[in-house]
Amino acid sequence: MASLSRLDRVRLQQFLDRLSESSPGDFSSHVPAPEILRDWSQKIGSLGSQEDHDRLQRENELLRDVSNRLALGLDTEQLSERIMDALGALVRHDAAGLYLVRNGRIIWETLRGYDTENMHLVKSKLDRGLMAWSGMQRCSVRLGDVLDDGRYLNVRNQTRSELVVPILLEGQLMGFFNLEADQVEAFSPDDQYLVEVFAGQVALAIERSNLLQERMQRRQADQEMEVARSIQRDHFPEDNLSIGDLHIAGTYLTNKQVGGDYYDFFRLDMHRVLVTIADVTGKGVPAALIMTSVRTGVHLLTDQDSDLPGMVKRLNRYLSEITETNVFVTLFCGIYDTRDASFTFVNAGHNPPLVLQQDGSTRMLVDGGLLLGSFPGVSYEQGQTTIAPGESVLFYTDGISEALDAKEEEYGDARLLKSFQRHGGKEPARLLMCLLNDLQDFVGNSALASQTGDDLTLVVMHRARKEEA
Amino acid sequence: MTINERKEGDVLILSLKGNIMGGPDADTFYNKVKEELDGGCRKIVLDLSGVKLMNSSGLGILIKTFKPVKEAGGDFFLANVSEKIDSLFMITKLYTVFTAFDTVDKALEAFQA
Repeated sequence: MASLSRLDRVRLQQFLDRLSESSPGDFSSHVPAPEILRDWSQKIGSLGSQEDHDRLQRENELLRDVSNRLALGLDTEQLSERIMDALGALVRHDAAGLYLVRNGRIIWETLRGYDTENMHLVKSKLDRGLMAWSGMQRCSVRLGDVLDDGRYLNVRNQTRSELVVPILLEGQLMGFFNLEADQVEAFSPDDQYLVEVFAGQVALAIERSNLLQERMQRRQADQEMEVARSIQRDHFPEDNLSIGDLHIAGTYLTNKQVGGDYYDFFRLDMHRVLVTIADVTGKGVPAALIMTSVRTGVHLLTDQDSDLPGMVKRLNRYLSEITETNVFVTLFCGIYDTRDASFTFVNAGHNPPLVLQQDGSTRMLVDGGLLLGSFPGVSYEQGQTTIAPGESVLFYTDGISEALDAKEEEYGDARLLKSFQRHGGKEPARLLMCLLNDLQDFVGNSALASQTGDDLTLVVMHRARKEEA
Repeated sequence: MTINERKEGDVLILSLKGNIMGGPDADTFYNKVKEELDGGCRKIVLDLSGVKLMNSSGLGILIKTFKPVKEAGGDFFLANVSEKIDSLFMITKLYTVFTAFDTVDKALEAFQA
């Protein structure tokens, strides 16, 4: 059974320790590993099949250890510097390059020993020269005298021998080692073999580093998304609002961290409150970005005169400028005035809010104009109604009416209306809860927003009866 | 979504089948109309009899396709709009810019008038 001598083990350990400690640029010093590996390689080269098996096992252990040390939380730059240090320790050379490639292009190179003025030539090695050949053939190539071989691309005048080894992972080309030396026949078959085995481990190390970086990027993206979610949550009113005998509550659910629905209610002055609900085409981040613009527009364009059609017209023009034609926003906004219980509104292509009347029937708030963001020149008209004592108004986005049950049947406007009629008249926050409970009963056990695949928004406004107030 | 096309005189009739939900299908549809528009066609009927579902992204692509036709001085009529899609056009008030007919023949008649 092949085994390393105690001395070899000590020297090997020194090599590994040196490898893990070596810093970028620590290239010229020579650690004893190549001799160990060479000796070892020669020793096991003559052994039989059991020995071959043991050799492979030992080799794997050795190089797995190298690989572990290489890939420990390093980014591409640190990793490639460490790899080049290890390569310098493994096989003597006068110049070398580590090239990482993806889709036939060099995406990274770490070079040592080349003149800076020839760097542009070095970069053309992937298209011409030995590297091109090696990449095509998926095998390494060793030239004893570069002047004898037409495939050699001269980027370094003093080079006389060259070794190119592809870095392959499951047959996929990940990069190359390119080693150059000033003497002829500088690289032996053992050197070639060692760099080939090393390249196999480097492939794993690079893959691991790539996966690690992807994971870190994903984690960072998740963290950023969490910040975005928190910012968006701050865009919604924190509390329910009461002004005079009017009480308002809203809720928003999304199956992503951010979404394209928006609702808002805020006081314009002592007597008036603005209520808005809007839905942006699509979901996720793109919709959320537009939703932020909608909110900004509503807040900035709503002035004391409260000319709603003018505000919506300006908002439409603005959204038409900043969105693609196929992206649009449906929006409803209205101003309730406690002095006369009037509710003036503009409905820009949004699901009409429902007013539940005392006798259980409903009326819809339709007046307004086209959806926003696609037709910049259009005008809007204003509707007006009076909210009688005891009446409730339901504002919603289509995520509610289009929610599906297990049989993929839609909840639909009719069920929503019935639910509203059943619970209408309750205090808004409680009414919202009842509406959501009915919807939950319909869609089954799944989480509401994930079941619908859309954002869900509900706002309820209720004018108290005299005895309630 | 699949698109079938035929010509009746100078009117291009595009029949859509399946769901209009945005995505790559939407680009195919938009590019088809754009190509016809560049080729000089100004009269288009969109037969929606085979369309089961249309979401807001699908609606967005109809708007995107409709606009260049109108801007080129052409017309883009809808035909055979299902009740559900009809309601979507009603809610969004898109009927203030789109014109719909019960059948393709009625849309063709409107072009003759």
